[in-house]
Amino acid sequence: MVTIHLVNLRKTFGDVIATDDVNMDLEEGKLTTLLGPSGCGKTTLLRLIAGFYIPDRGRIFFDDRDVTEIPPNKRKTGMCFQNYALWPHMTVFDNISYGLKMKRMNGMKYTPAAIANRVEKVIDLVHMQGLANRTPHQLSGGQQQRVALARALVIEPDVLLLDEPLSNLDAKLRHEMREEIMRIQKELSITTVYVTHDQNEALSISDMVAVMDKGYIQQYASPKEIYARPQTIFVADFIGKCTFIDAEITSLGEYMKARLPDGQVVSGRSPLEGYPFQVGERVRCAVRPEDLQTERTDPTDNEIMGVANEVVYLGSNLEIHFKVGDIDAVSLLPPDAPASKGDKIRLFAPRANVMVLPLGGVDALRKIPGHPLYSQPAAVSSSAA
Amino acid sequence: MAEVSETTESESPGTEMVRQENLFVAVLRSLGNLVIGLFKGIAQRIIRFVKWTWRGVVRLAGFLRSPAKNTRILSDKFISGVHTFRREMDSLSSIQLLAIIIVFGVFLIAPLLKVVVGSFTIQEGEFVILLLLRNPVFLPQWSPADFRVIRPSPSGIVEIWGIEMGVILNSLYVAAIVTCIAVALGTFFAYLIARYEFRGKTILRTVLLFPMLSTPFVGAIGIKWFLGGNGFLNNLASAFFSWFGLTWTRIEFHGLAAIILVQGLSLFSLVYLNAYSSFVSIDPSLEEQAENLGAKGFTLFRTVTLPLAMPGIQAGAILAFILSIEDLGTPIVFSEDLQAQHCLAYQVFINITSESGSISPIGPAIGMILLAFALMGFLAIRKYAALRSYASGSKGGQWNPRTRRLSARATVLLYLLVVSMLFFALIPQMSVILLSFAEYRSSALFPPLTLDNFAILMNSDIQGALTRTLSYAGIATIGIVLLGVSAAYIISRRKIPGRTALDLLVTSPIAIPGTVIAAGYFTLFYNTPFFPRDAPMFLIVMSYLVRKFPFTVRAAYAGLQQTPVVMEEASLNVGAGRNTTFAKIVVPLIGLSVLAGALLSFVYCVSEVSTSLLLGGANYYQAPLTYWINVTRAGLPPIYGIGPAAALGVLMMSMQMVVITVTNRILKTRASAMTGI
Repeated sequence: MVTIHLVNLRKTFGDVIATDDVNMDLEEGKLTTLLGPSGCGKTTLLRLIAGFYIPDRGRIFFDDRDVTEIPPNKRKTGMCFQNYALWPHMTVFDNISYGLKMKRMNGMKYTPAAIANRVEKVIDLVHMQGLANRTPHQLSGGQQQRVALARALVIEPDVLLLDEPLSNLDAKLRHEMREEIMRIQKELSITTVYVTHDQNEALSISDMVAVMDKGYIQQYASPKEIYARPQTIFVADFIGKCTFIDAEITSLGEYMKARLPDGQVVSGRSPLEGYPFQVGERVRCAVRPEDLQTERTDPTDNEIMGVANEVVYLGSNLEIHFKVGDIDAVSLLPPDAPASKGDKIRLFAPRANVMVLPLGGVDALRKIPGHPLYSQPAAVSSSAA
Repeated sequence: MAEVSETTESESPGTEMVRQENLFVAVLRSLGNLVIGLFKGIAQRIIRFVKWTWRGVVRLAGFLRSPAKNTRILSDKFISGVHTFRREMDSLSSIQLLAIIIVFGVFLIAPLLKVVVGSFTIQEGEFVILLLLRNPVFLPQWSPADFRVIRPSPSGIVEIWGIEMGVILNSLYVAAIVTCIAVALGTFFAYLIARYEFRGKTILRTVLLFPMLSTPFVGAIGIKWFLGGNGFLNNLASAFFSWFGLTWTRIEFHGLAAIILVQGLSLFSLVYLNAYSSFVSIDPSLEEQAENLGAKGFTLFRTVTLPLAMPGIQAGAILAFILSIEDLGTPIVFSEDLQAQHCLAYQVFINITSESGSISPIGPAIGMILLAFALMGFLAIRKYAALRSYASGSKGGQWNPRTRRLSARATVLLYLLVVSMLFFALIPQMSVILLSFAEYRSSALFPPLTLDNFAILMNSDIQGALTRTLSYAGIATIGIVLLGVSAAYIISRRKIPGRTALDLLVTSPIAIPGTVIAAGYFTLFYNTPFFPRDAPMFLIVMSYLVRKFPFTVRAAYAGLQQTPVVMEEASLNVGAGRNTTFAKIVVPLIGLSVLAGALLSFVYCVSEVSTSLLLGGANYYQAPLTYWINVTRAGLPPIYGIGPAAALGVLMMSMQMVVITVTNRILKTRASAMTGI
């Protein structure tokens, strides 16, 4: 088991910055997800860990071993590729046993019997009994996925790397394989990095989630934290739904007040601890649809007036799209709430649930003392020390 | 608007509509546009190349303006390049790269440079190349006799000659006409095969692979006899006419006109193959979208299909141009006509071989002109000819190309057209085969068949040449495979600086005239251990290796493009080193493609003409089969002569046919992409 330390990583392709300023510790035995839209740099980061790319700057440590310059074949990582990358000219058995045949320990190698034994065990683990002599094209998508997983696991890697392993499967199979991966990961308790663009997959499977956008880690926290306390506007928007309202801060404190362009004042609090808000600063307030209520529960609740322009019945809920002035907003109400298109509606948002977020995305994070991105040069020296 | 208007007929024509033009006019107009478009495209390519060169010059000038600063920038770039290089390369790749650079440096670049330098040496107080430009043979004389194309001869045969405009312009205009013929024939057949389903298509496809086989050299021997004043075709026409009581005027092609005919019929397959792979790799949805918007039939072809296929057609056209200009075999076969000698390739040939002992700088100087044309053509299509263009080119098999089934009546009409065109296209092959079985000097319409000509195969000199050829080609192919797989692997998988240059280097031999390479070998290596006075053996093998290299590199590269990189990464990831990965994953996965490429390289080595003739001249007991075909052709009947030469040609063609068929089986749809440029 190893802990992966990523220190100040940066990787560019020509003029394009694929990923930058990455500082993360991926704890041993935990499953960490890299989540983000396509092109956000998550696969680049995974391939940096695997060793297929060398970073332009920064270091990668497996525990205290610096692996930054070590070639991929010496890193002891097991990677599962998006399209599985099974070798078409080999059987399932040959595909899985390949890594074992390559493995040398102090100049010794595995005996054929040991190899057969280990392959058999891993085939059992991924529930592929009896298919060892098939070739990859005789397997279904799910089976190929299992072989790819087995091939990565059989070498007993320090780190398991999964690059969108489920993206080629249909919904049902995806669900099954997700359970399977979680089972195996818990069983072997192996440090795992999982890349996906599917937020449901990420939230349900992970111990920790790193949300990425435009090459930067937007937030690195537990799934619950990510949803409840998004640190940037991007995270709030990408994970779940949100209504955003631009405003200007009028007073500070644990609960801040901010004025909307039409003169209304909302109060809320920031999920970002330590960010130096200032009076007069432009911010964006975010409210989750399910945090809007039809009844006032506390005198401090914010009151929102709007006109419903679309009502969608979802069975367990009623989703109402409404307009507050020029702003499009969404709320999730109980299914029996009386609302129909064109109605004037009046909703209440508890001030604890109104999230006040600074503009500027990751640049805002740099202003928070103690955050990994805080005033970059200092961060380098502190992490090196 | 005009095309769409027919679907909106019911609406009242407003001021925004104009009357649709007559279909006939439309077809004519767009045919005109096609021809203009073709040449405009080629011209644009050349202009783009000139601009590219000019930008290079400008950048160099910019560099010299502030040398200190720029040197620093350059050295920084160089250092970071060295870093990437060291990270990307391992022991195996480094050895591979080094071997490629040494072989190509010594046996391609150095001889070419020597030719260039040689043409600027000073003789009689002037550059040799300028001396050439004052030679009356090389420049148009504009005398009326030069323009007499139709010349009746005393024997009643009408002779058709080419226009005489001096060696340089002759080569150019011949190549231009050949290109037009090749484009017309090639595009026609390519579209037909790519887009129509009809009975007998498979046969037609196989038959169309045929012209690719024989070099113009072998074909010319047959054509000369077949179309001669007393040849088969004239006899046939004469018999046919006298049946109706008419007299047929016998026609015979001579000089440059004959060269145009032979090359046009031999080189169209280049355009065919490239156009074909362009047509099938057009995304069907692009055409379907156009149909959806109302274009169909000829409009669809003109507005969508043809423009998309144009790059392939242009590349094929330029290649046909280059091969026409460098072709040595045809002028030699027709060299009895003084006019046929007046082309660049032939001039290089005689100016090198006539000098025994010392090498005259005249040959290389002419070669320099040839090289300039060929290189300009190659660089104009460099993006298309480069290996890396295969990334998109190999997509052909991924979708079902749109094909249309023809009605029975249309099939019959088509057959009438195709059969007559195919008859002309296949004249080189047919005539060689016929000639090889025809009795010597028979004037009968259908000459009695005989196997006498094949007695030449019993000749010990010929048998020696055959064994030699096979071993030369075999050794060269082994070298090609070893270096070719390495080159393809490095270009496709190693992100080292200078990859583009390496790509250009290994694909350029396809356009570099063999006569120029041979001229370079003579001037650079003659009387050295590489090339002792009477032992050209080693250099013949090396010239094969370098010249036929692109076929295998292409095949290997195409194989690599179809093998996802993750296959190798997966291997590295589970602990295999780069060399193990290369041996256990890469080689098995691309093995078939490489085999196919190697087979192609092998047959093209066997049928190589220009370096074989030039280098073989140094000692004909080390010369390969093509040299001996020429010796046989020029020799005295009945043992030698054109009949036995044709028999050797048939031997060579059947060998090629077997290999091409096998390659096709192996590669299936990829074959056309492979055998093209």
